[in-house]
Amino acid sequence: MEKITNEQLWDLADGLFSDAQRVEMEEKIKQNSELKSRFDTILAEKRLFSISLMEKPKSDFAAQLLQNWQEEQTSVSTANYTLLKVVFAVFLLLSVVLSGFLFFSQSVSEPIQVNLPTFELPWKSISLAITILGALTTVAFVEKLLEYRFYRNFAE
Amino acid sequence: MTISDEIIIEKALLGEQQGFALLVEKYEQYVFTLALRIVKNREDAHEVAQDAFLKAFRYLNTFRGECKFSSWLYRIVYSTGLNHIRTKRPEILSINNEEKPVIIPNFHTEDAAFQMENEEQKKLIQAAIQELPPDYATIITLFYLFEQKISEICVTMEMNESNTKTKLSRARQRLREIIEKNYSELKK
Repeated sequence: MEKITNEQLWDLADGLFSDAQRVEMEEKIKQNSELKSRFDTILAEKRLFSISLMEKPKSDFAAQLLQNWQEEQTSVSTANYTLLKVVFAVFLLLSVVLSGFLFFSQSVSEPIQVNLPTFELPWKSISLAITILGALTTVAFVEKLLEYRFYRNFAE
Repeated sequence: MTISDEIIIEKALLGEQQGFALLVEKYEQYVFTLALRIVKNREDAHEVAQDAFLKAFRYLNTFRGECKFSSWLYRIVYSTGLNHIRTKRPEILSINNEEKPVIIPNFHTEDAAFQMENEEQKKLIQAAIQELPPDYATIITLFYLFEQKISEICVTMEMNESNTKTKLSRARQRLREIIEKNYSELKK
């Protein structure tokens, strides 16, 4: 007769068997007193494992957490509002410049010669700064994207 | 009457503070218990539990309901806890996790731990779980205390079913060894 190991008995006690396997195993246990005694011991051990207590956090845990959450939401909405204001200001500035240019070009009947001042810009430094800024923005964006995907994957 | 997770999550996603409060009320003990089993220290467990809840709230809109909310939440707790001990208490990771052959101890109902008072039993089990490595302590807690199914633990611990069963079996054996060792020391 095939020997039934304690591991198999544990799997039965933990409900890891399919219905068919469970019925077959229970039948074997019924017919064998030694097996039944081993299974009873395992059930008693299992009960012992299940009696450990749930732990209670500090009494102000929930209040503190909800306060932190509210603060985080407030700071996020403030940041969003600031960003919105910056975008609006840039848009307004561009609109004013563009309207002024259009108004100026329409208001003069004859083209006039405008002598713009010439000056040298440190193009190398500017392009380097733009490159660094672009790289940093890309890194920050990728980091955020990975973080977002990490939690999104939980639900998949 | 208990409100289902779906309804609570819906409330939270609509921005209702009550939704978040209900989630905390329902899961704070589970989250804290699991965090404590992983980091083995109440102060750190508070920090991990708070972090885990905040992450869950932040990414709640990405939860699609394809697994149980509890599994999703426990997965966040598990990864937050592991990250915490990697950075702040790496000594916990060095708790012996060797898969040595197990000698089944003489653990009969008529002797040892079973004869003890319930309170003593609880203390013995708590102390034994504290000695387990974080992954073993997590799987024992999820399966025996939170009564999660193997399929749910697979989601929480990012393992396939066969690895989960193997780990559960090893964790159980390790726990029995520790209980047996602690009990014989207690008797001396």
